Amino acid sequence: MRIAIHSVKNSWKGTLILLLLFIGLFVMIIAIYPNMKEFLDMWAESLPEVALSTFGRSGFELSMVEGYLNMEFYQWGWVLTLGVYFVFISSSVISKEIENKTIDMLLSNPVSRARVVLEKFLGLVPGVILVNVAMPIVVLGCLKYINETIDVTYLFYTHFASVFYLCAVCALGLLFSVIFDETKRANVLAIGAISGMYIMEILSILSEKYSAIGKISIIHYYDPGEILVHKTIEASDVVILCIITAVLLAAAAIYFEKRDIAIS
Amino acid sequence: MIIETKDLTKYYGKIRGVENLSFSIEKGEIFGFLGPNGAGKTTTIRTLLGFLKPTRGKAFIFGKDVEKEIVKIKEKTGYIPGELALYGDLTGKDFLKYFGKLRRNFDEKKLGKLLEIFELPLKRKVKGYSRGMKQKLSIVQAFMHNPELIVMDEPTAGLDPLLQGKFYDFLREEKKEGKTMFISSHILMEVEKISDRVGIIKEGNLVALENVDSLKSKKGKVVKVKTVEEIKIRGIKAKMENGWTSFVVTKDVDAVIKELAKYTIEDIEIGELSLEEIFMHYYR
Repeated sequence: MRIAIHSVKNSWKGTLILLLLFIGLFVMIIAIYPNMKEFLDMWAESLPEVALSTFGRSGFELSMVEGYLNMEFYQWGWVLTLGVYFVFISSSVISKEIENKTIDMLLSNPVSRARVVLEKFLGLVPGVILVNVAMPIVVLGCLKYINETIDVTYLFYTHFASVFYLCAVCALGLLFSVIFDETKRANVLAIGAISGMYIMEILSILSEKYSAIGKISIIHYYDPGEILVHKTIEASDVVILCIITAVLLAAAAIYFEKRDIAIS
Repeated sequence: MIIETKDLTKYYGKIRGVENLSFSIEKGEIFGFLGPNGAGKTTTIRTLLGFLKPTRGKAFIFGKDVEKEIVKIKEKTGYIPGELALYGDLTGKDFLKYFGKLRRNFDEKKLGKLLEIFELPLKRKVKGYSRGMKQKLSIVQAFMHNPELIVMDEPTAGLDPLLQGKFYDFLREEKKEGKTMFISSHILMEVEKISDRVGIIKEGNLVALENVDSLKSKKGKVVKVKTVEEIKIRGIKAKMENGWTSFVVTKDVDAVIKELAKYTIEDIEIGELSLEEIFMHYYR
């Protein structure tokens, strides 16, 4: 577990800053809600259907606080932005060791490369858990302040499922991290992959023709609107996210074991 | 046998790394691995330690296949990489603590002894270390778990002469305890001080495998002399350039100097044979 602990020590500052940014963003979004409330319904009615599905997948009931949060915060803020953040740091963890050439030192220890991959992943999990524990507390606090209520159980489920979603995202980033030696390249391609998956999912909602391509997107299996607004959580989605995580990690470990680590 | 390679070959795509290396190193031996830059020293070391997969051939350490049991091998192996890349954000102390926990046989006593020889500003962050300090830290981590084999890629780079001396003394002590060492270098003088046997690699191929004593017999001087007349000395092949004549003297220096005295000498330089010149002279 030493590599994981070292990795947490290295990244906690970044995660904390990100969390504070998200809290700030959330406070801003929630602060304007009481004034926005009555206009939102009218606005929602005036929008064409296509726009609705582009904005958010489900739960475009803006006048409900859950719908508002889903659209203004969770869909793009949590699913996309946080997804991008975690894919960014996870795609750096091993490529950075290769690029900085510290990998020679690290692997001079009696540790297998597969263990390095696994521990680097475990080192990312506390950050994922931290944001998902802290955020619902902030959400509840802010809502109480503006006298709104929300179903606590489903808020909890939203963040519970989010842990599995972000773990899958980290596993995806790690795969990029073991393939590319240059951190920047791994970062760009991994962010491209998660953004592409976001677009694929939106496309699959917009058009029947593309409904199948959404299924290969990690984002397809985590929809905070579905949980928060429609109060349904599919156990199968969580299981699929776990399987995706396991498969991506196994792929990363196998690839890393087999590849040459050249330093020039 | 601690290290054994059989036709070990590594290509990076079509680019030659090393070819058909076959050698073995006995327990308790200090093996000097010599070659000019780019000859394949680092490639050999990194293939031995499992960073690179051999294209062909096999390598065994402690009788174990490096492709299959590298983790077990590393339990008893220390490594000083050629690239001094340490974790800059850690203090020296935290770095040693982190690595100590990753090493199975980590030995506090040994670490204390090492830090006495190689003093380090342990409370300072590694990124603030000078090159010499980084090299010392690199040495300390390689020995702190009391490994049976230590592989070193140009370990004296960055050490001042005083520290180099301390380092060699330390290696001799370690040898007495039965440690086996593999040291790469591109400087012959450095390796011959400490090694029992030397392998010389050139353009990816092992061109010589010799005892240091027999290598020493191949020593010589490079003589460059500027004379008014054209020089002709029996039994010596000389190169002429801009009035300078240069040649290698391997045996009878006295005879050559006496011969030279017959000419009008404007200038003269006499130097040690460099490794490259030894290659040129003996292993062409």
